[in-house]
Amino acid sequence: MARVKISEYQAKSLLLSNYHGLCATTSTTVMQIESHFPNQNLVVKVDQGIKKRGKLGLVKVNVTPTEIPDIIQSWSNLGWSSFLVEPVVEHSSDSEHYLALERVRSGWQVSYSKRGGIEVESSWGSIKQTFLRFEGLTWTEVPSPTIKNFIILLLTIMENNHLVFLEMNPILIRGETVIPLDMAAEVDDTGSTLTPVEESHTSPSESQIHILDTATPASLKFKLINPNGRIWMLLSGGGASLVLTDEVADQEMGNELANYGEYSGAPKSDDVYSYTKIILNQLLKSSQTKHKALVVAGGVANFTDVAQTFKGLIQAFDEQKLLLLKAGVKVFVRRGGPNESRGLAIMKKFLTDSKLLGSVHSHNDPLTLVINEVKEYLT
Amino acid sequence: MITIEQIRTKDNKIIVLGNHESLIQSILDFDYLSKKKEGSIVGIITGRAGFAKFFFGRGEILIPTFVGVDQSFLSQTYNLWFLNLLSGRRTLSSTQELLATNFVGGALFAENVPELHSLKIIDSNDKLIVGPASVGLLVPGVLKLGPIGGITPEQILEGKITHKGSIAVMSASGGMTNELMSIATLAGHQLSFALSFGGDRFPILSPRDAFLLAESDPDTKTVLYYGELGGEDEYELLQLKEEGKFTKNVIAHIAGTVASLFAESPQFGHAKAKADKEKVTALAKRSALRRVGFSVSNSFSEFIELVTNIRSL
Repeated sequence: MARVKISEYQAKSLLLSNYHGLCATTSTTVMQIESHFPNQNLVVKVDQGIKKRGKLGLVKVNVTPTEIPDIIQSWSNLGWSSFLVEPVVEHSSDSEHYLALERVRSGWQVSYSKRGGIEVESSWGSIKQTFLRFEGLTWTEVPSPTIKNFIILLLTIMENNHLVFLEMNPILIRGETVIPLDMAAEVDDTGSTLTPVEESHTSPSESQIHILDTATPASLKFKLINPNGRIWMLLSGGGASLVLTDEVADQEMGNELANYGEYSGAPKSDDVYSYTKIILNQLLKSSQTKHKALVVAGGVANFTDVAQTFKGLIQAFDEQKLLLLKAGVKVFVRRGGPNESRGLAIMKKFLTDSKLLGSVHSHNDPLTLVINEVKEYLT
Repeated sequence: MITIEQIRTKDNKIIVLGNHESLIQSILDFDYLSKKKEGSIVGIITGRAGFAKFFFGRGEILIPTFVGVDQSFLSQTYNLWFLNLLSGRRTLSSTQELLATNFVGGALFAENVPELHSLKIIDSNDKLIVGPASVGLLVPGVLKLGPIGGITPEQILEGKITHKGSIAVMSASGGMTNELMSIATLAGHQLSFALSFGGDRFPILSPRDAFLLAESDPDTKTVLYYGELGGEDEYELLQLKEEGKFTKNVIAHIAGTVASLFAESPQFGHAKAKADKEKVTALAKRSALRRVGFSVSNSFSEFIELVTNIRSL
């Protein structure tokens, strides 16, 4: 549902003619590399959409095929899983340019600098920006016709494949030829068929919720921040969830924040049940022995049925109520929307009976009030 | 683009694309509670010619269903709106055929509309279209185009969305649109109009366009604005203010300061909600908007306080 990174391998295969990189994993053998690149000087890099690879030591230049499996193994030990091998293109560092294209409302924003490379951020001021529309290529910031022609070629492929961001740093210009050495690309995943990069260090609970999300027309999001945090968020609505999470940080409890997440778009009570169950399992794994707060909160829904979604929540709470009680969990609730009073009433009854009640508020009370109560409970 | 005043001074009718019973019924309930003589929905495009049964007050009514847009609607003198409830992939193709006709505008409900599809719609017309991923447009007592303001009669009555006032609500988030409306109502104010841009990167109706609608609306005195980290739309607002094209009172909240807890901004709930550079962080936008004289809150409770303190005009 948003802009996502794709691998450098996919981006280059799509955008460059005669691209000859090799996508590698821990099982890639020396023989495979040798036969793909006979007698060539090689570069190997982590290919998972990570920024500042060079500075993080995730790029190794001038290596031989026999060295590569060990390098990949050492990166794999750090949690990386996708790699790219390419031939080295010899060049001097002062021939490194910078070029980026981003889709904006009024067309394409083109950013270009003669001084690219790993230290580009220190010469950020040298980057010229211009806006491009297909119909009028009247721009002076990029004087080289070679680069202009290259950009025109790229934009057509990018539009056809829903690529919305492309950064090439460094990029070399040799006569009529443009050679991007490193490429970072993002697609709009609502239109693209390209595969997003696998994020490293994804927790099992995050993967499970991601799978659940793709299987329903509603939206289910979850990001684990601190598995031993004391504040667990079970929020509804993209906007309200952000406001409530901001409030936790504003009240200087950011270090206690266990997760960010939200459900929205009128999920069925079954979906809410499964979503809640995964989050509760994660919470109960916490080695934190102090009191914990579970925040069930959201704005005033337009069309998400409060009673129906709360049924799913309660079903999941009910299965774990003894463990939640033992873990020192109290539940703090604030919600408005269709069938609000019924939803809040069944929630209040359940929480009271199971001794998990922190508080229950309707839309008549301010959205962020529950966070004040959480602070009081935790201190 | 049609003005809010032109919406108030003419009759408004809606054609719905796709069927969503409780949502359609809520629009008819709004019409009834606004004391209109008849419901505003004149047709539902379901892919089958026939009739669908709904209530208008206590009486049953039949609303015609169509295979496509029926020509007989296009020669009428009222403001004709579309409410597109179809999926993200079908939003562009189904909307495009309406753009060349005399619809004054519409609302796009679906999430997951590709960015390039939105840009195509933006390029090809200047109608008042909210969305994608929008809960709609509301002019109290006059037009409810979408689930905005709720779908149960209790919500419509309690939210007083049939009463006209002087506060305009605009928000990137559907839930927060309704939250802001509720904050205004609980503080004793009433609305001039309300709309949700949707959380996508390229909303068809941009915040800039919406501010111009508020400026030209004689009823609107104050704008309540909810925005988030990500995207540069807010920078167009300060440009409007600096150029003197927008002069009314604004109370704004920009959410997403929590992103600073992370090494790299995570993707939050809405498609646009990710700060990939300093300029689009919540803090940078807050201080930019503050600089041109808008009231910008540091916390959401401060936002509520600012709204509560608006003098009733």
